Amino acid sequence: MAQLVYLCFRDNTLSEPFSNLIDMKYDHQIKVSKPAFKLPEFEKVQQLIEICNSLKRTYKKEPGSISPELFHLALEQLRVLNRIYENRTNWMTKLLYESGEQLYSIASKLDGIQSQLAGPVDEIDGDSQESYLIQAGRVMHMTLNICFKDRNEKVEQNRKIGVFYIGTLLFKLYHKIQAYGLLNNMCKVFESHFSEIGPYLNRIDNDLIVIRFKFYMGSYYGYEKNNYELGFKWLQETFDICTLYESEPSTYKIRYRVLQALIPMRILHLRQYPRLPVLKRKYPGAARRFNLLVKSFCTGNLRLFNQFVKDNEYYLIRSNMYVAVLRMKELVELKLVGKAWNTNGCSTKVPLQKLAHAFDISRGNHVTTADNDDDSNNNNNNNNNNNNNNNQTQLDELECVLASLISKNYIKGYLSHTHRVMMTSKAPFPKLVKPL
Amino acid sequence: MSASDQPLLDMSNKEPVKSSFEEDDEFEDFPADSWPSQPISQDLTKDTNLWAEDWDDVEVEDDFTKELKEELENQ
Repeated sequence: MAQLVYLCFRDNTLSEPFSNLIDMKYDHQIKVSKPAFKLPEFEKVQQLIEICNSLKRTYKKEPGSISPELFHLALEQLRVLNRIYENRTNWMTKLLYESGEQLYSIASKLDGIQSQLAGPVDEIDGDSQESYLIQAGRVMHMTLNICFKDRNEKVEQNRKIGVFYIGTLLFKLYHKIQAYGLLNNMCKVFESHFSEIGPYLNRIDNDLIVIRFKFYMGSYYGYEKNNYELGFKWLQETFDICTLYESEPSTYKIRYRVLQALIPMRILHLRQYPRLPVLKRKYPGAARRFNLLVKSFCTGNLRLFNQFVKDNEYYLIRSNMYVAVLRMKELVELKLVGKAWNTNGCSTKVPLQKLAHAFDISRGNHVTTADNDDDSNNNNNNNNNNNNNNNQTQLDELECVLASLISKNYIKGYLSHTHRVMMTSKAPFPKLVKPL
Repeated sequence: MSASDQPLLDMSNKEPVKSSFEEDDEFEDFPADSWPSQPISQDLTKDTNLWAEDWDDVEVEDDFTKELKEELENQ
C-alpha cells in the first residue's frame, strides 16, 4: 500500500491509494516501507503516513470523541502536508483542504467544549492559552501563502487554485472566532490579487468552495465597504449557484444563509424586494425575519422599519448588516414622501407641515385630529411656546431628511426654508428600480 | 393559484413567532458535509418569481396607508 502512495508522489497524481488517508475516521493503517524507486523527500512522505496512522489509531480508541491529542495530531498532519506541498504541484490541494476541514472541525468542537467548561485552553501540554481555532488558523495561513506564492506557469499544475480552498476555510474560521479584522484583510488580499487568481476560480469543481468564496467576498463588499453594487453581484452569483441545489433539502441552511445576506443588497442596489408569499413558501425563516422590513419598504411605514431594526438588532450587528440596513431607512422615507405628495393632490408645492405630519403618523408618534381639538382647550401659553419650538425643530430635521433625498436625486425639487415648503417638478420621483 | 397571482404583501398576518430552528443556526458556518458533490439541476435560470420589481409604483392599501390619507386630508 505504501508503495502505491509513493507512486502518487512520484507521478504527481491524486489517485485511489490516497482515498481516506487523511480521514481520521477511516481505519486503515499503512505500513511504511522503503520506496522501490527513488522518491525525493521520502522522509516527509514517511512522516505523513505515520501521522495519519497515529491520528486514525487515536480516533479509533474513542470513536466520536474529540480530544486535544487528536487536535495536535491533526495540526501536525497539516504541517507536514504543508512541508511536502511546497515542492509539489496542485494535485495535493484537495488533500490539504481535506486535512484543513478535519482540523477545523476538531478545533471548533474543542473550542466549543472549552467555552462551556471555561477552563484553560490546552490541557495536554499547557503551552498556550490560544483557542484551538486560532492555532489551526495559523497553520492554514501557511498553506494559503504556499498557494499564493506559486509561480508555476502551467495553469493545471499551479497551486494558486488552492487559495480558494484554503482561503474559504480561513474565511469561515475567522467568522467563527469573530476575527472580522483578519477576515477583511483576507478579502483585501483576494481583491488585490484577483487578476492573477481569478481564472482559477472557474477551474474549481466543488461548488461549495465557490459558494463560500463568493459569499464572503459579497459580504465584504456589501457590508464592510458599503459597495452595494459589488456586494449584490457577488451574493447574487452565490445564490444563483445555490438554486441549482434547491431540491436537495440538506443544502437548505446554506441557501437560507446566502439569501439573508442577499435580500438587503438586492433592495439597496436594485430596489427589488422579495415577494413575501414566495419567500414564506421557500424560506419561511427569511420571510419571518424580513417581513417587517419588506412591508415598511413598500408602504413607507417608519414604525415598522424601526420595529424591524429593534427586533433584529442582535442579528444585524452579529452579521455585520446593521449599517447597510439603516441605509434602507431613506428608501422608506422616500416612499412616505411619495405617498404624502400624492395625498396633497400631486401639487408641486408641498407644505413641510404636511410632510411633518405624515412622518409623525408613519413613526406612530402622532396625535389624532380629534385629540388635538380636545387638547387645544387646555393648552396655555407656555405650552404653545414649547410646541412651536418643537415644531420648528421637527421641521428643521425634516428639511435635513428631504435635502438628503433631493441631493441623491431621489426627489426632483428644492426646499424653501423661508416658506417651509418643498417645491417639486411635476413628476418628482424618478424610477429607482433597476431591472437585472 | 400560482405564486405570481398571490398578493405581494400579506398585511393581514399577525407578527410572526420566531423559530428556534433558524435562530440557532443563524451564524453556522458552511458545513462541508452537507453539500452534494454535483448540482441537482443544471438549469441556471434565475428564480424571477421571488423578486418583485415594482417598488416605484407599488401601492399597498393597508391600514397605515388609509390612516395616513385620512389624517392628511383632514389636516
